[in-house]
Amino acid sequence: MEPSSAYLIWMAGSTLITAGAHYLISSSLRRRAMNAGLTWLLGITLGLACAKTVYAVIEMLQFWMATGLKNYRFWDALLSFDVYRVSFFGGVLGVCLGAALAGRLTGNAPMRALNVYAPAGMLMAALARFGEGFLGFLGAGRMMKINGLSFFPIAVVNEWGEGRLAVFMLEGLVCLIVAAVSLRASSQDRFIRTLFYLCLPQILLESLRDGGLVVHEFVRIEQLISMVTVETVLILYGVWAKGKKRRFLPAAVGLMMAGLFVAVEFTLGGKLFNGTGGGEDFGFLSHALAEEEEFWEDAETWAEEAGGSELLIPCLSYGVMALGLALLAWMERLGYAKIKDRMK
Amino acid sequence: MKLGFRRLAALLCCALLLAPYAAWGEQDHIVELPIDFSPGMPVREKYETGKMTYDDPSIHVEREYNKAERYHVVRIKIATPNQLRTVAAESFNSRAKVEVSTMARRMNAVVAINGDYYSEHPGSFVLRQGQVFRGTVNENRDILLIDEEGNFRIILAEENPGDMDLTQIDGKKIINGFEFGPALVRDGIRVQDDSKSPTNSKPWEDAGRICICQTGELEYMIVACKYWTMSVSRMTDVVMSFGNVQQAYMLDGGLSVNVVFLGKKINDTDVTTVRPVPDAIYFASAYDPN
Repeated sequence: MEPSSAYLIWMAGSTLITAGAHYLISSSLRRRAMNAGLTWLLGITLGLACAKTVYAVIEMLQFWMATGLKNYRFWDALLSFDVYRVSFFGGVLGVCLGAALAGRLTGNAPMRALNVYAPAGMLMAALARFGEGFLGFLGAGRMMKINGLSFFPIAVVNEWGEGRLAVFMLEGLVCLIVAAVSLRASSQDRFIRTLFYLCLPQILLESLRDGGLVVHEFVRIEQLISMVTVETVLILYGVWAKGKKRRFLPAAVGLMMAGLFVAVEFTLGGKLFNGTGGGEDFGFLSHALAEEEEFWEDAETWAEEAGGSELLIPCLSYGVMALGLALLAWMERLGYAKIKDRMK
Repeated sequence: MKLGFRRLAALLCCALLLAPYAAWGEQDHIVELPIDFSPGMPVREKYETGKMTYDDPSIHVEREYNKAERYHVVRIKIATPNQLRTVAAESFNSRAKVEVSTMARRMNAVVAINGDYYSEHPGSFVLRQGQVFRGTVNENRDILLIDEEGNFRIILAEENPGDMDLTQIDGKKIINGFEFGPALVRDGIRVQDDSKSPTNSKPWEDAGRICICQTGELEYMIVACKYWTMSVSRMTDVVMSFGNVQQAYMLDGGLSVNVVFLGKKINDTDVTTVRPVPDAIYFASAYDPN
């Protein structure tokens, strides 16, 4: 069976499981069965439409930044049946719109419908991530440097026996955990908090992916969308916490973390620290180093010595990023504590 | 004594008569590699520190490092055009990336270098191993085509490659096509124009640069400079200084610059970050001793 056919069958099954889960947890909604059915139908339709549209827009942006739009065929990207040419967050947007619209059509407030749907939505996200395993490179990370760990579900092994980090499994697992936490959380603000925790780990996980859609240099578009969503939630908390002290502190920390994450990405891309102490974009430093003739001598000996640091920079970089994400999670709790009684 | 000289002369005659047969026998071991994504023949030697040459009846490689100017030169002579090959990290429809040394190992490459990083250059022309994966052409970019005889054909941006059939030129089928550039030398004449460089390659800055050149029939040269040491213009000066370069074309630079010899990355070995790339160009052996 073609990988894309297997993926589509998996996704179709996943939507049915999600619809069942949604029905089970939506007892507080009016016209429960109709709402679950409509959410399923509209979720598929709008989810697909938005996943394709957002991808086409991103691709158009890529074209525009690279060469201009003369040769770009927007409708080709939009109407192609290529399962690789879809945006995950576009799909999330479409499914959320579908759930809100279904709520409205069944006489429920859209936000209330979204709050109820959030855990089921995360289950769908988890299943969609697991399904990426059928698509080869799409959900996999870089080549594993530690051969002993090259086995499923940690890695996917290709025809040459090379293991690649199974990022899609990690993403699916994270989505499942968020779904479980979301289910236990208070139904008020459940949607916005679930969205926050869908995007927060994705900032790191997107960086681990190999085939992410890059718009410019190291800017991965889905990572950017995740960061923007996280920051928007923190800003919204600040706005809603009117009159409270230091209400924009979480948003300010969010901005600082965004800067830190950019630095981490540049480090991972070898543009800040790469064993020579500088990067190609830092002209003054590179020139200073280039003048040091001795610096370049005995390069092959250096390489042997540098072998040990091959994993050091990624480990340190991702460690810093994980700490930054933990700080953002703490900021979210801090921000939410200021607004959780706003409905009373 | 007289008899001895006669015997010696007879032996020499026999040896002279047999020599062409021996050479013909070795040539017979050169196989025609298919135009697809299959690997080359296994290499006969392993990399060792300081190893500067590789030889088998189908390929001759010699490399050198210019310490004063900080650039590597690799000269390659192959027996058949199909030994100049290309490969993707996964497939030319994907954005997957791996290190050039990994692709070199998979494909039994004698020499491998990074390609044009097609995956992050939307709309660029991608023709590899005889298959067109992307037929669009970006405006204002020079194009490198390699035909079925292993000859480089450079199409300059002002010649509107978008309006041409890039799958065959002068009746010759094109096997590989690249879009990065700019072209540095065409038919021995300097044609380098910084304005035709991809936006983010900053041709005026000193950076890591790599170019692939044709120096003769089935003879090629790779020039890769040390990190942060050459502008595109300086690279053209270096290439022109060799005197015998017929065609020269820039490939993706910066940290993408990778020159792999017998599976070992030989350039910028002091840089710990090795950037994975989506594609590679490699030279394979076609010698099958069996």
